[in-house]
Amino acid sequence: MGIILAVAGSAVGLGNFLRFPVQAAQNGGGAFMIPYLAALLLLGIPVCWVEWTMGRSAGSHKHGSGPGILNVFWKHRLSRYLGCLGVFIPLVIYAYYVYIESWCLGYAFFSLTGRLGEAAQAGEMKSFLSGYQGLAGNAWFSGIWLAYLFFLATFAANFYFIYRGVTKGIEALNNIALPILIILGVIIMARVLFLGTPDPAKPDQNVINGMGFMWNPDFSKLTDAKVWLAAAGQIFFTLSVGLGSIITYASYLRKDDDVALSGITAVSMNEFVEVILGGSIAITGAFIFFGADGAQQIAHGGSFNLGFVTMPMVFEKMPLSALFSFLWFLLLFLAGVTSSISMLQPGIAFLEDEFGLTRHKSVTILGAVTFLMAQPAILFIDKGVLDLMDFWGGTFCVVLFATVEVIIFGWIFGVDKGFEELHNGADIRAPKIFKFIIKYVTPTYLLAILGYWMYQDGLDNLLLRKVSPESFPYALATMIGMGVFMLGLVIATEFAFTDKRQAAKHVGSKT
Amino acid sequence: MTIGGWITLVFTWSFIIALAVYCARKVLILRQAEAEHIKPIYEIDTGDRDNDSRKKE
Repeated sequence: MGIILAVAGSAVGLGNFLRFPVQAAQNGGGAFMIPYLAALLLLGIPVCWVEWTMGRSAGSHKHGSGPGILNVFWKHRLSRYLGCLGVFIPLVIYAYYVYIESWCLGYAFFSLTGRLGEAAQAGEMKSFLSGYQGLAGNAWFSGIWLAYLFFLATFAANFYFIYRGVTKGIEALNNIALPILIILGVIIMARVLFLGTPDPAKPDQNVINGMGFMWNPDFSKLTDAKVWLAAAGQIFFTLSVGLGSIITYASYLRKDDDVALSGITAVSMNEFVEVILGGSIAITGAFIFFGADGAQQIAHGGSFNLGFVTMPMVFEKMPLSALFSFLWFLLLFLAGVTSSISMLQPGIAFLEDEFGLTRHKSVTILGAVTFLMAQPAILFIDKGVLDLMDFWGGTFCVVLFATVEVIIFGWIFGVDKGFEELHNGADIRAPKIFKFIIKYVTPTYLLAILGYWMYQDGLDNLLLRKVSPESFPYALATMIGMGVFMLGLVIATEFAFTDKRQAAKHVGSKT
Repeated sequence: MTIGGWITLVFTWSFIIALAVYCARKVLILRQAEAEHIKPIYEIDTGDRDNDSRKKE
């Protein structure tokens, strides 16, 4: 049973309770669920197996990050460059994720002090959140400094754990804390489902209609490429596949460790928490308190806002509201810590394996880089910088990297060899249909999404045409910054591999 | 909530619960030695306690 709890604990993160509801609400509720389910079956599960398998296999060649791993399977310079996405993506996500994580710590603190309860009682949670983010001065906040303080504490804690090598201790704590979070999630879900119609003046804002907002399929939205891209991005984000994290962790496995059952068990536990708990709590709650338009408006206000606005209002309808609120945000914070630490692992493996740096040096370099990268996301959140990083880092590049991985695995390495590798030490047999899916369906699906999205929205997004004039300079600087960072990784990779080739030649000529 | 909504909900929940139960059952019936090969992602040893690069057998 311990192993199930540990897998479930590993699978839970902020994506389940905070990002998923926003993605679903932003993309039309029920309209989102059909692409989401399709993405789970045809993208999430196959790419999960591909990553676990590629990572474990490349680990025996002493490569643990995107550039090295892809190069094991495809001996072409381009594989290393594309593999840089496996380092770029988790670091970009980390830069804003750690800030969202710090909100959880802040909200846990304000639950204890009672400040959060005051806003929840008055239904002024939107104002509380924007005050906390430093977007507006109000009765609770006069600037961003408290949020920044919690960010510094969270950032320092992350790097302390990883620098001191105590992440195993955190994970042991999480093996207890996260199952409690899941149990708490079940209790809160039950409370939401029994909220009925809290405001008799708004009889339409009830539980059944809230569930309808989440589940009623809207087929007209299925022609919108952005919805399909968002669904694929959410599946990859929540399962941590296409990010570079799983492939890196798998590279530390032994050859006879199972990857087939480990991978699918992690997927199943994650989906249980995300769809059944995450989907029932925040979206239904948001609909009940704010209506369909209000929920969508909050969702469009920021990629992670919905849970922070809705949850305190749900807690206010529960006995011991401050205690539940404190526990919820603290446990969510702990879930966030393990997830954010895992996002640093690809960068650490990149510096350790390709440059031969010690762990301490690698962690120090990453600390400096990610601290700088986090600043625009924090300070210019009102200019949409965080959302832009989330879209390009957390959605587009993730889908792109997954496409590259699955094509290399299915077509260059060969799906038959890949399937054989997947089943080394496996405790289950993956259904044979997945050979066909991995080779044909998944790459076609991913290329179709990317192509269709490029046709429909790509140019507008690349040229920032939908960005308001006052946000444009910030958005442009963010795009350039991300481009420069990616280019830097490509150049660094080229240097690392050139050095290795020369060293190998040198050794060869001596012998 | 429309009929379509209920169908989507029931189908999705059933699929996810069935998958979770299937996986949990598969893990729980493993013998001790086999179960040691199942790795929750964060329990994989990345060598973070050693200030040294990758250790491999």
